[in-house]
Amino acid sequence: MDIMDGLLYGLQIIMQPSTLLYCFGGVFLGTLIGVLPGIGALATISLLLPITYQIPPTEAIVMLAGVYYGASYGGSTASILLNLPGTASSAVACLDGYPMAQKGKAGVALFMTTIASFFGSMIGLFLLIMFAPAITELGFKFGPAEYFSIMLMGLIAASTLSMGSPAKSLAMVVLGLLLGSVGTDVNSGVARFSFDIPELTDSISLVALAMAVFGVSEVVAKVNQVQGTISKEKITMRTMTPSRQEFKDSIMPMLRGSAVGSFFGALPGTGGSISSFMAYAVEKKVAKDPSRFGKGAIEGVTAPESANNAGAQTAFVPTLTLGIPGDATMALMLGALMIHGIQPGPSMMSEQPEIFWGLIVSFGVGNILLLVLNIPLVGLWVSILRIPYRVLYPIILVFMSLGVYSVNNNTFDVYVVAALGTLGYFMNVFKFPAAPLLLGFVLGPLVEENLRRALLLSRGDMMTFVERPISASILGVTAVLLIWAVWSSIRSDLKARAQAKSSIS
Amino acid sequence: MTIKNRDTTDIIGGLFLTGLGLFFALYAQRYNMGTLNRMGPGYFPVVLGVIMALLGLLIAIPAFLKAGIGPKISWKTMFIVIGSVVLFGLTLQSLGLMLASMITVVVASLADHDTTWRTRAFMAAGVAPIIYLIFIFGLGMTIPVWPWSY
Repeated sequence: MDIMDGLLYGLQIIMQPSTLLYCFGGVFLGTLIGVLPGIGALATISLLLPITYQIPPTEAIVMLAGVYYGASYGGSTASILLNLPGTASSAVACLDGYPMAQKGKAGVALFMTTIASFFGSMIGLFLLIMFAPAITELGFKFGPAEYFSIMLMGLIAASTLSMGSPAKSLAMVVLGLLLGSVGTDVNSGVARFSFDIPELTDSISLVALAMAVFGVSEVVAKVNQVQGTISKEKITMRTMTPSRQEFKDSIMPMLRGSAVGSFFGALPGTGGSISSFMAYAVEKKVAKDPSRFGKGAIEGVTAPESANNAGAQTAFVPTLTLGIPGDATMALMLGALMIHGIQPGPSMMSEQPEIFWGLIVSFGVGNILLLVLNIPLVGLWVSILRIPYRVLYPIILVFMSLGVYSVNNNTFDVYVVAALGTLGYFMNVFKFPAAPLLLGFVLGPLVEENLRRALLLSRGDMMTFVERPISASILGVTAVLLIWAVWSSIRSDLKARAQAKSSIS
Repeated sequence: MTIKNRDTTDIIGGLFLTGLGLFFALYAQRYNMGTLNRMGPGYFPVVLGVIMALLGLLIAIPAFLKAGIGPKISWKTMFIVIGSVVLFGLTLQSLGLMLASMITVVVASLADHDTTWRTRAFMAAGVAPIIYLIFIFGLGMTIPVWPWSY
């Protein structure tokens, strides 16, 4: 099936009323949770995972994907109006979005972020359609050694390119891999780390882990935090319309942002937050007058916003073509597919064309829905922002507990959520990131399986990873990433120490 | 520099990881290691446990040399929130979905300083129909709804 046929086929799938309805539901819910600070796409997708057991796989995955990219539309709303990011990737929208709101330009900022989101998504989607078939071809050439190397690269990229200490992220990846090894070993049938608890021989539930580290621990950390107050300013069509100059000033930043976002999105291991920060940095570099940034420069809002939306689309490239999730959300999507017995990878395009092409076309449809929805619904999002967190979180907790129970009809999983939620909260307190943990957890069994298989094929010779050219080049990139991370963390340590010394003396 | 203004967050966090890594590595000794050619179930966890222990040290050791602030743990909030989840698990089978949800909402809401009892009652009354509509009516979940629905 070539691209045109594929797209037409996908269009038939998405135009079925039930698929369209789930797509709409997904993007609507996505925007809603993107708007609300404190509930991310990750927590919502883990909440919805149990529900997707009850609906057909195409609808399920279209809805979950809608939540994912929908959240990147709404994420900037709270950043602009409250100076509180709705999702991690829109933290950068606070920098110039909030100053714009203070200058009475909240409407323009909200309007332009929607346009920028749409623009970025379309570019990301175009690249996804162009590159997915080619990378699928490449995927067929992959043996276990290549799979192992590329997953290793993803895991290392996830820890070295994220914010904060690379050693901590790496440690969380390893912890994730270890948690992933809990359960029955496929090769030998030995129950690892089950501590004679029958439920644990079946491995830890992905839903329980995701809800615990992204849901419960977030709730504990966020309760009793001061909420921002929202300005009483009325947002109407008139206050939203940008001037011709503002529009013109945004076109190049949106293009640059989309390029940056598409690149980082497609790279396994890096997510939306890194791409939006990069796009912001690029804008500041190319600006004629960088001092405007942080005081309400429109390109400081539009470039990162196109970047994180472009990245949200291209993030599906490695997930769908190689079966390797690029970030924690993609890991959950992969989990959702596997729940339905679908193993994403190079053969997905030919074996599950309805899901592959249906999903891709649903991105186009979903993004148009978002564009059409978001501008008239700004008022609704603004009023939803007024719901205090203290009313939301107890209900979220019940949803999570019930959701995780419904997967296996087993209260054991509820206790797993409580236990891992405690771990997650301590991770939060000791400043260990949760996303690499989830990535490691999902990839763990795949990494181990491919490592074992590659070494079996080479009769235990480790050289197999560097003798095969594709594997060797992937490992080369990984090594560069690691060296860069070590060097930059030493440098920042030295800087911190120098600062500490000068403040003491 | 006194012990007080050292980076205790990273010291405790790093040492904890080292301990956890050692635990995984030592516990996995009971599984067959196998050879590189044919890895046993113990191989992967033992190697990972050692790597994690080393990463823990890599986090803890530099932290002894630099200043930082200690961790701030909200024990009370944590106990209430986690406790409400456990309570849900404990009451779901015996009291049914409706009562378990209401109890969980009320207990969880105790974690917030500003919530009034009026709001709590309101939330408890509101959560039951939402849960019923989504999970029982919408998704057709089979689960006791009330204590007497057996």
